[in-house]
Amino acid sequence: MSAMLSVERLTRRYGPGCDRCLASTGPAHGTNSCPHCGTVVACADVSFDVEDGEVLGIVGESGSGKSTVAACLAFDQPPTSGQAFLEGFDGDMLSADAAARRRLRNTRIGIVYQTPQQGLALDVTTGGNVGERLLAADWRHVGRIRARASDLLERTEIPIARIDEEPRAFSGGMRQRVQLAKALASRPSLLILDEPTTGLDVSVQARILDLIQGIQREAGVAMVVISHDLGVIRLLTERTLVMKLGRVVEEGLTDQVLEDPQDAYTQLLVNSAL
Amino acid sequence: MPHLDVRALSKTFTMHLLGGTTLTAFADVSFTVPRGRFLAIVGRSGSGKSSLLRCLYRRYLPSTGAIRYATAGGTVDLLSAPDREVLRLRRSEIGYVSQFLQAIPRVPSRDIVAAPLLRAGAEPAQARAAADEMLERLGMSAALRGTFPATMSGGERQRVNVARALCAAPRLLLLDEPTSALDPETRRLALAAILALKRDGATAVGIFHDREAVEALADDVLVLEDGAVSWHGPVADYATTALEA
Ligand SMILES: Nc1ncnc2c1ncn2[C@@H]1O[C@H](COP(=O)(O)OP(=O)(O)OP(=O)(O)O)[C@@H](O)[C@H]1O
Ligand SMILES: [Mg+2]
Ligand SMILES: [Zn+2]
Repeated sequence: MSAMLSVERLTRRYGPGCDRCLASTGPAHGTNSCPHCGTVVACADVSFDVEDGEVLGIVGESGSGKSTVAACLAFDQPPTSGQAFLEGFDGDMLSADAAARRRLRNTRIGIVYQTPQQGLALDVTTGGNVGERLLAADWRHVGRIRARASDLLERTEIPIARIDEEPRAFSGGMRQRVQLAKALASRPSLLILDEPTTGLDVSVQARILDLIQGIQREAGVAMVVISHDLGVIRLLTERTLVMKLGRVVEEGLTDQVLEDPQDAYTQLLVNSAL
Repeated sequence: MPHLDVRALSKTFTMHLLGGTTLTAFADVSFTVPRGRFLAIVGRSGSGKSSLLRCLYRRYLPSTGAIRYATAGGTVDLLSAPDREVLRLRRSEIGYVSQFLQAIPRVPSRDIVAAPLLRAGAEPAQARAAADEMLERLGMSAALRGTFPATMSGGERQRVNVARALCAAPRLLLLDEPTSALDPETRRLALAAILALKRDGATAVGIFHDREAVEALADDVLVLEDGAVSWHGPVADYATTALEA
């Protein structure tokens, strides 16, 4: 089986950049900020691939570059260098022209952002939030849009009676579920979940995790799950990348990474979680 | 050609949080298991048995050596096989029963047992029926089959654990004291279910602390002492060796 998504040496820097940025940052240097020019190397040389039906986990401390990887794949941030290939799209999607990128983002890529404000228009109705994705994906028939939005909200357990309310009035868990409904709207081939359960209380987390597992069982989607919570990673993923200071320091089968971590940082992470 | 051919396998942990201290779980372990034979691993607590078994499942990354495993499609080295190849083998032919069930939250036991079958492409109704049948063979009541393992007793959970591995009818079964949490009656049922798999041609490597299980299941015995093989031979000889000792 070929990869649904294949990412090659993804690098994103914030700052002027110099030719010593990469050689002067990362775990070996204890910083992600270049001592020569002050540029932040948010992620560098990140490579991985995900197949249809697979869920890849990304773990790592705060600031290690996980969300930056997600942002580049959702075209929210242009990468400094690197490539990404999505099945069925010809060539590197990151260097595609703006129209092609918009089209991919609207039809093939779904993302749940770490903060709901990033993923939702809080002052637009819930139905409007989901409908906006459908419009972007070229749905034109108002009745059909409304029906599909209702389906998605039902699936993500948002009471249909609240379809005309703004997510502003919703709890954290409900907002994450609206984000999920939105992300699923166009039946994406790539679903990126950035801390989908962080900050939610346990029973709310549980329902969101059940929902994600339900999606995973359906064919045609590759998922990337970013989480601080090793329990979430263990539950949802079979392969995991560990990031630190913008670099991938370890990758492997999830059970192996969690039970026999090789890298010093992963050992710290696993031991801190116990 | 043996089903499993383990050569000079070693596992050393490097503990970076302890200044890079190393700890060798076992070293230079070699053995083969012919197809359809059962190998029992015995030894004192801390002798490296579970680490060895986890290395065979690639839950631990072995340090050196080779684990040649004969699949339908040719021989692979489980030490160096890519992650996806290992996942594929876990799904299709290698089963592992840990000492305790790592409970999957909010999933009824029947569905936990059926999950590997579903992944392998079975029809949901058939997978559930097979799961039910296996749980019944292990003596679990119909009422319990629909409940969550989180609220079960240790022995009940362990039945779910054993059933999940057996139900998928693996070609290689890795067992880490699968019967230790079970009462004598259930233990007998579990041994019978494992034997049925053996009759169907499965190969197994298992850690057992009770002599009864070793004698009921094993063809060969390997004794680990301080991370090294101190004895390896047919179960009949093991019985006399043990008596002499
Ligand atoms: N727009 C930006 N301008 C400058 N630096 C940025 C920008 N966005 C991110 N960074 C920096 O890039 C690094 C990686 O940030 P990122 O948000 O990807 O981390 P993360 O792994 O998602 O962290 P968390 O677990 O806290 O969400 C951090 O040092 C961050 O401060
Ligand atoms: Mg983040
Ligand atoms: Zn620089």
